[in-house]
Amino acid sequence: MYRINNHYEPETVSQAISMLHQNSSLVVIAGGTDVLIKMHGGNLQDVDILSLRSIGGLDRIEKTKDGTMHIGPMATFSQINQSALMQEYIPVLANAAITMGGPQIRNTATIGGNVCNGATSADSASTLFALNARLYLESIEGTRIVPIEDFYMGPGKVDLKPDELLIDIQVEAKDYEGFCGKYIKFTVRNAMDIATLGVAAVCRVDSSGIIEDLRIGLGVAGPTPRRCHEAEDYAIGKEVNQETLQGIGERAVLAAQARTSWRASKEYREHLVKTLSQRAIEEALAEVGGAGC
Amino acid sequence: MHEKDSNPANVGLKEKSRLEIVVNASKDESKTEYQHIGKKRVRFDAKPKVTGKAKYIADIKMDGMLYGKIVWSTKAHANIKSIQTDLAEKLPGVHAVLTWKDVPRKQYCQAGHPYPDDSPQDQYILDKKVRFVGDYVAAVAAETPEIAEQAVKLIKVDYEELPAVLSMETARDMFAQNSSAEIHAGTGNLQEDHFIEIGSMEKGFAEADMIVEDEFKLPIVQHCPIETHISKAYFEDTGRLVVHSATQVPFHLRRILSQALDLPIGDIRVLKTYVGGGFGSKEDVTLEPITAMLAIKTKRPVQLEFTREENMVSTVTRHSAIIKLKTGVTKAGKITARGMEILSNTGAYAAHGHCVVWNMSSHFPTLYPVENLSFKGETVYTNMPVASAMRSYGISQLNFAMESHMDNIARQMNVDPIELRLNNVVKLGHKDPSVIYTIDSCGIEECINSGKNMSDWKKRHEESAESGEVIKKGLGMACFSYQSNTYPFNEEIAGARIKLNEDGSATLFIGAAEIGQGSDTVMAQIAAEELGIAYERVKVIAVDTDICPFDFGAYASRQTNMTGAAVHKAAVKCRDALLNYTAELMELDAASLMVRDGWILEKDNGKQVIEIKEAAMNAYYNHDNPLAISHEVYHKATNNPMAFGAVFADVEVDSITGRVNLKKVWAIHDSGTIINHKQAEGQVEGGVSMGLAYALSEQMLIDPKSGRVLNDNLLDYKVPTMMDMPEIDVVFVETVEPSTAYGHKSLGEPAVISVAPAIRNAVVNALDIEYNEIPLTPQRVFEGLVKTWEAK
Amino acid sequence: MLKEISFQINGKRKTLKVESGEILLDVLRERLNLTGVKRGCSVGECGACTVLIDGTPVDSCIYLAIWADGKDIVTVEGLGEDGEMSSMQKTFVEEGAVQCGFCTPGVVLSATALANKKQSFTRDEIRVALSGHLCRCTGYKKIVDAVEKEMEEQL
Ligand SMILES: Cc1cc2nc3c(=O)[nH]c(=O)nc-3n(C[C@H](O)[C@H](O)[C@H](O)COP(=O)(O)OP(=O)(O)OC[C@H]3O[C@@H](n4cnc5c(N)ncnc54)[C@H](O)[C@@H]3O)c2cc1C
Ligand code: FES
Ligand code: FES
Repeated sequence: MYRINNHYEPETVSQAISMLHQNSSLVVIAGGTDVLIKMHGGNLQDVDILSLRSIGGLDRIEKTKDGTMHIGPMATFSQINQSALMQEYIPVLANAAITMGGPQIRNTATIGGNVCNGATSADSASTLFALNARLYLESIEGTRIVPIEDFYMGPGKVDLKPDELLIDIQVEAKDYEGFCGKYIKFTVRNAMDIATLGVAAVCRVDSSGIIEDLRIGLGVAGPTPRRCHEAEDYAIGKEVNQETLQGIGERAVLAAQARTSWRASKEYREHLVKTLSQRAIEEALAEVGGAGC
Repeated sequence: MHEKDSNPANVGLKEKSRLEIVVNASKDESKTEYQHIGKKRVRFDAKPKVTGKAKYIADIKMDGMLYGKIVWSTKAHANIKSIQTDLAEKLPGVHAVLTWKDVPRKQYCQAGHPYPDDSPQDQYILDKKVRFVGDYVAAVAAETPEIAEQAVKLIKVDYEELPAVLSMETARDMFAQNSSAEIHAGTGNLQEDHFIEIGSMEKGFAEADMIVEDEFKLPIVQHCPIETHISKAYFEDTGRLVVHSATQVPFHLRRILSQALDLPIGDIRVLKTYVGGGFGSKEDVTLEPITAMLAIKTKRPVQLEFTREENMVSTVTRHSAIIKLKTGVTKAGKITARGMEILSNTGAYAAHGHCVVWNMSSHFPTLYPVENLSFKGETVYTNMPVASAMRSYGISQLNFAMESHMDNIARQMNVDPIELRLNNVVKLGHKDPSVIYTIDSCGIEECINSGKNMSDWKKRHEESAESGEVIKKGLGMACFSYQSNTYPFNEEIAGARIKLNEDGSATLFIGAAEIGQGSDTVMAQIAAEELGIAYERVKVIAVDTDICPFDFGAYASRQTNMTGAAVHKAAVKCRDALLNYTAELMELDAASLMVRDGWILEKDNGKQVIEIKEAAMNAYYNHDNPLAISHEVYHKATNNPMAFGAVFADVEVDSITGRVNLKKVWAIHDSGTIINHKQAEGQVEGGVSMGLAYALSEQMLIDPKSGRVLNDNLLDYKVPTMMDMPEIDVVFVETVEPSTAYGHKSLGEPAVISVAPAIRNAVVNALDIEYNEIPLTPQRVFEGLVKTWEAK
Repeated sequence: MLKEISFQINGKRKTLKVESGEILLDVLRERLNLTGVKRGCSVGECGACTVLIDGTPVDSCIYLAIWADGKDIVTVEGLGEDGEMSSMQKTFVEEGAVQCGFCTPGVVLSATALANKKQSFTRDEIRVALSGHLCRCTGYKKIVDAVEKEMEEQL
């Protein structure tokens, strides 16, 4: 038995945000795979829960006319992985989704929960960083749009006010069309594992092999997920070759703020950033021909 | 130990010494005349398990049952100054709160050892001192798990902290510098040590052309049975205490409970039903004494079930160790002297402690016999989780070091590591000078050679260094020997009682513990074989200490060997009783009769004489001379058959990230005759998964400051998933062990032993870097690579 | 806060009052006596508590009972018919995929959900689909063998 006082299940977003407005100590729950683990560990207790599970439509994945991809926060990792739209247009995210947890976790855990939980190891985060995802946060005051890069403020801390809900994750056409991408989740085990390091690279290369655009997102390379702007700036306009890749790798490390923990040393994480960022680009390019590139 | 055998299949078997290599059990089943031995028999507990009907302890509800919960120590080493329990006691629904003042001040040792146990009796059910983070401090029993949990939080403990010993290397020095760092009074933190020298090391090294020295480091690992530890205690109507436990050692448990609780053995009844895996962890008496105390205090049934986190930290672990080896070898590849020194960490209590090191020293000489040999073992106490028995009882540590060392020697000599092994490996007929067992069946060379062929060794092992730029391929192997019981260290006995029922079915009572390994099924096969009845007609009852014959339990891979022999004898007795009786009734010669397929047959021509069910009915209901057929027999060990095996591992190592990808494992075992192939393969495959995790991913990490276990859950402690498994080929080299009923030997523990060193040797082969510490996590492999990059 | 929920459990309709904090695993085990649902960790790491919710494998240890309202839930007890094992269960038994049996109910349920997709899967895909179950006994080989064999037969 979890120590939950009350459990509320609004059926619309507007009901939910007005409930949040009235009682900002409500704990929002989506799949519950982070919230309930915290309750099991005694880190969260005797709270009132606001469940998003009865709100219809929050799990939709759709593409609007302007090409913008909408990912509902309640979409589970399984849904994202299996979505035909995702597989066709943003396969990098569909593929990242299946690296997460195990099947039962993916059937329950949502992308919104993953992002709002604020963990640097969140398996959707690096890819959403690389895709320039924009988060739509709704409160009684209206909608706030926050680029994902600005959303993460510290370990487990995100720019989400107590009365706000994440209602949509959007990726604009300009950020995925013509790009190929790859997420490398580096772990000890091949399933049911938390990343030692996560690297997502999306890039667009012209027919002569020149990098037109490149964005790299990192997870577990610091207290929050991050982008490798120096490496990206360096790469744009350069030809893809060993030298460029090496240059990218070296600059990617500059974005890292790794520290030594019992899970991995700083040196090792930095080495992984340097080498896996190159590998992610290579593998992304190797998959060219697949949709979305 | 052989009795007159009227089963012709047995006689035939012993006459010819059979060696067969069975790849993936595509065994020709017409080969022997056995009815059940070596035949496909589906385990009879599989159906209740797969349908969810099997009742494990947590599935059994009792009226008025209370839930136990433990207050765990948050300090690594401290005296308890006071414990405030009043708030907890006042909480509605709480029925008992126990501290050290409420339990018998009787010392015991949690290890499921035989009697007399000369291990240090160094623990109390609850003590005034705590010795690791996760040690028992107090216990509560309450009406719901939630109330129990709340009560635990209300208990305040005031500690006087003592210096904590958090590494085995410093255990003795810390005491020397500060006597309050002594974990158990009078020990100086040394639990036990011993030294053995055979021949002369000096002479042996003088004869050598090369001396190779190595040091290996092994981590703490945990068993992680998927069912956590659990027990229930309650009183029978007559007032006797019943303890229902997921245990591997029902009879040892009963005896140790009697000691700890200060109750006569006869006043305690231990029950074991389904057990959700043990791997050695349930060979210790862990939560049963406190569960019983809570039942004694409350006079109500109490269940205590550990959470996963509690299970990881507060039950048992495998000893971490530092092992040094020094070997002299001639140019021709003959070993002249072998020395080993081990420092083993038993954690906060002795438990199986130094016994594990004794087991190492008894196995050390066997695989590569040599005239000059020395062994020095030392077990220290630390303020870390308790180490005790785990699948292979020290031999995983020993074998990892020995077999990695063999490869290191071969590398230095620039010879094929298989050649080095074959030059020195034990042969049939070998009599061990120090430990009085003889090798009467020996398939080690066949194991090695078949692995060599299957893995395409010559080509693959040599080529490996020339593999790809980033992905380096490697092939490695290792081999082992392993006991089938604990003789001659223990005068082992195991019992079986068979009731041949009126309809010719049989009820088999055993004290051996089925814990998932399939032993009940094998025992039923043996009984059915000798009784000549269908396997499905044997019902196994195990274990209730009130009605089942005494047995040592599930450890040392002994059950098929020991209990199997008892079952065999009991079944032979029942069969002979039936044959004699029937022969007399029908005026036939008993010696001319045999049993098979539910019939009594004439031996010579196979002619059916009478159905067993009819013969049994006749015996029970004969008007003048009725006979009930029931026999209880105990078997005593007279030898300790050695099982052998070799494991080959094929890896790909990412030379940039250090990640090891295990592609394929060949596990080749000489466990004598295989009684049930599917189950035997299952043991080996499970052993491979446990062994590969020892090599690559599992390690219990302890905060060097607080002594707290950092990864006490299944996300951070990395048991392999289905996606971490390589392709596995299991091969049995079936020798015939003359000292067992069907020629069989141990298998349960052997399955795990050589997997880790084979993988390590493959990684070394791939990267040309010697790694002497496991697990070979990507970071550890990377750190080895960095050294070579820096050297360039 | 008590709430009345109503759901299908192994084909039967059930209405219950549950507390906000009640866990589906406990409701199934303690209140409905469906003890085939096992507990190995309570935090989604082992898969022993897996049940099918609307046909999808979910860890019942991290699923609030309240959420079961209106759902169709199947536990291992609901797999066979008339006391007979389902064909997947039979294949597990035949292939030696069961040892201590503690992981088995969960694994069989995930395997059944996969087979219900009526598609063919490679061995690797089977492994992915079952990777949320820890088994400490079998080394998984015979489990994958059983699922592969059963799915081939069903197709
Ligand atoms: C066994 C196990 C394995 C795991 N493995 C991985 C893994 O490999 N990779 C990984 O990234 N994570 C992993 N996780 C963590 C977790 O599953 C993920 O972070 C998951 O995506 C969380 O989603 P959820 O829907 O369950 O979130 P919840 O637990 O419901 O919520 C998480 C947080 O987000 C908030 N929240 C949720 N939705 C919204 C919303 N729409 N608006 C505002 N706030 C919201 C909640 O208040 C809460 O703070 C694992 C967890 C477990 C138990
Ligand atoms: S008990 Fe639910 S996943 Fe382990
Ligand atoms: S059979 Fe024991 S855990 Fe799977």
